Amino acid sequence: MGNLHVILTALFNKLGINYIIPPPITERTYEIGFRLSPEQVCLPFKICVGSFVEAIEKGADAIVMAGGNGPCRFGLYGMLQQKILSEAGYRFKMFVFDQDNILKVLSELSAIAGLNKLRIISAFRFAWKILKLCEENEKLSYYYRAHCGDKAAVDKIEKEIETLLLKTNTPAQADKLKKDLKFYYSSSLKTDIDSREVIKIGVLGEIYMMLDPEANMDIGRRLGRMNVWADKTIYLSSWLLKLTSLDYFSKTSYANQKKTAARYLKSDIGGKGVQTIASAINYARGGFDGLIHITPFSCMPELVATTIMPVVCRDNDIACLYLSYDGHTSRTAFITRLEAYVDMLKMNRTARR
Amino acid sequence: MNKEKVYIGIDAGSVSVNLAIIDQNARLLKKRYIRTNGAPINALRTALLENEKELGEKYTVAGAATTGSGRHLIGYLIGADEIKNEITSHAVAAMHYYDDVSTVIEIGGQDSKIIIIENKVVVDFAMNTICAAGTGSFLDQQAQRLGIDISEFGDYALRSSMPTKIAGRCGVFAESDMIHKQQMGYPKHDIIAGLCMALVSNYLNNVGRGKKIADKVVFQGGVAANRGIIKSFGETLGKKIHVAEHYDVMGAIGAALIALKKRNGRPGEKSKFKGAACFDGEISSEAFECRGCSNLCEIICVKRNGVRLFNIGGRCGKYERGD
Repeated sequence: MGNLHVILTALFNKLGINYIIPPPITERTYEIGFRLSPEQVCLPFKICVGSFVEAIEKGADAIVMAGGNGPCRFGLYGMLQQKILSEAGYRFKMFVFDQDNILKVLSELSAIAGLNKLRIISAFRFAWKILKLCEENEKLSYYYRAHCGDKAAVDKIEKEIETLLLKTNTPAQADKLKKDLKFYYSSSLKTDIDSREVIKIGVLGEIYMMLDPEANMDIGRRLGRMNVWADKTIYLSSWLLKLTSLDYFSKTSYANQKKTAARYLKSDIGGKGVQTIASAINYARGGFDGLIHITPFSCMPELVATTIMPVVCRDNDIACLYLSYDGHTSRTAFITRLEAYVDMLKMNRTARR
Repeated sequence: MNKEKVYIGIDAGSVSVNLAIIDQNARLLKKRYIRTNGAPINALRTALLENEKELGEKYTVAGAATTGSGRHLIGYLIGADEIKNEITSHAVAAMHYYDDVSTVIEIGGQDSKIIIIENKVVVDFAMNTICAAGTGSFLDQQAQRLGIDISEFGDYALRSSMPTKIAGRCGVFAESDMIHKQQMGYPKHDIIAGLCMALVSNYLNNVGRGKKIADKVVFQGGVAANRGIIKSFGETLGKKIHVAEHYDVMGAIGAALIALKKRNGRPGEKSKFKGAACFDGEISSEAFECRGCSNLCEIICVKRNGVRLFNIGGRCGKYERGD
C-alpha cells in the first residue's frame, strides 16, 4: 500500500526482523486477487490477497495486515483473508494490528525476534523519519511536475531521492537528507510554467486508493504531467497519527473534521466518509479549482459520501469528478475523463477571470 | 496563388471514423462518416485520399486534430497538431452551433456522455461507466435480433401507441425481458418503442444521475439518428430535444474547431499534418508482449514498409521513449 513498505522496511531493518517486500502490484497481482476473493468485495481487499500470495511465493511465512474497528468492513479483512488463503493451501502466520492492539502485536513480533521495547521505540522513530521524507519527496514532485515544463527531469529526481531513501540507515543520514531535500529539486529544476496556468486539484476519497499509485493509476503524477498541482487529503503518516489519535490538537484532527462536516453528515460512517466531506469544504475554501473523488467500486463509506458530495459541492461552488475503480477499469476511459476534467477546470478558470 | 486554409478534425471512434473539414471562418466544408469494420487505418486512408481529390489544389490543410478512443494511434500517424479527448470535442462543437446550450446528450457506438454547460463553460460531465446499454452497438444487436434494419428502428418505434414495459436497469436484463415479450407475442413496434423508453431511462439513471438537465438540450452522436430514442427523451424529460444538424460528426467538428483555435494562435509554425502521404507504402501494425515486468503490457508497433514508425500501448514508457 503505497509507502507502507518503506516505513516497515526501515522498522524491520532496525529490529532485525527478516522481511519480504511483496513484488510491485501488476496485472498478475490483480489476477490472483480476483480469482481468490469474493466478487463483491472492494479492490483493496483483492489487491492485498494478490500481494500476500506473491509474498508467500517469495518465501514469506508471516503476514502483517492493518485492521480497524469502525463501521467499514475493512476491520474484518485480515481474518477473512487469513481464512481464504489457508483454504487455498497457503501456510503462514497472520498478525492484524489496529488502534487497540498495535502494541501487543509489536511485542509479539519482537518476542519472535528476541528484542526489547526500547529498541522498538527507537526503530519506530527512525522509520517515522523515513516515512515523512518519502511523503515530502512525493509532495515536492507533485509541485515541480505541475510547474516544470520538463516532466521527465522531475521523474528522474524523484526516483533518485527514492533510491537514496532506501539506502538511508542512520538517523543522521535521514536528517541530512531532510535538510537537502528541497535543494535537490530547486537546484536542478526550472519552474518555467506560469503559476496562473497551473490548475489546483484536491484529491480525496478512500485511503487505499489514495495511497497506492498502482491502484489509482498514478493519478497524482498523471495530473502533474497535465500541469495540475494535486494535493491529496491523506498520506500514510496522517493516517497513522489518526489511528493512534496523536493528531488530537491538529487542525485536521478527526474531531475538527467532524465539526466541519457536521452540516452534511452527523454520524460516523466509517472509512474516510467524514474526512471526504470535510476536506471538500476545506479545499473549496482554500481556493482550489476542483476536486477528484476516488473510491474502490462498492466501498460503503465512500458511497455514502458520494451521495452527499453533490450538495456539498453546490453549496461551496466547486466541481468534483467521481472515479470508481475496480479491476476492470480501463485506462483509456480513465485518462479520457481526467483530460476532459482538466480541460473543463481550465475553461472555468478563464471564464472566472 | 493563395490557397485557402482548411482545418481537419478526425474522430476515431469504436464503430466509425468521422471526418470534418472547416474553413478559416469555422464553416463546415465537408463531412464524412465511415464505418471502420475493424480496420480504422484503412478506413481513414480511403477518406483522406478522397478528400485530397475533392478539395484539389485550391485548399491547404493548416491544422489537424484527432479525438475519440483511437485518437492517439491516429494522431501519431497523421501528425495531429492536437490530440483531444472526445468530451471536450463534443462540448466545443455543441457550443459552436448552439449559443445557449445547457445539456449535451451524446450517444455513440460504445459510450454515452452527458455534458452540462453554463454560460458557455462546461461545468459538469459524466460518461457511462459499467453499462453499455443504450449505445449504438447494443441497438445494432437488438435490431438484428428482431430482424429489422437499424435504420428502420426509429420508425418502428414511432408507430407504437402502447410501448410495452421493458426493464432498463441493465443491458442484459433488457435483452432477456425483450425476448420474453417476443415470446408472449407482443407486436414488434411496441417492443421496439418499449426498448427505446427503457434505454432512455437507463441513460438518465446511469449517465445523467444527479445532473441538472436544463434547456436547451442538444442530442448528438450516431444514436441521434434514431427517432424512437429522440421521442422517448422528449417524453421522459418533458423538453424539446434539439438534434444537431451534423449529429453524426459532431466530435470531428469539435476537433476541427480545436485545431483551428490552436493554429490561429501560432501563425509562424507549420502544421504537423502529413496528409494522406502518411499512408504511403505499406502500413502495418504488430503486437508483442513486453517481458520487462509481470504487467506483460501489449506493445503495438506501427510500421511503414517494415520500418518502425512508433510504439504505443506500454504503461511505463519503456518502448515509447526514443521515438
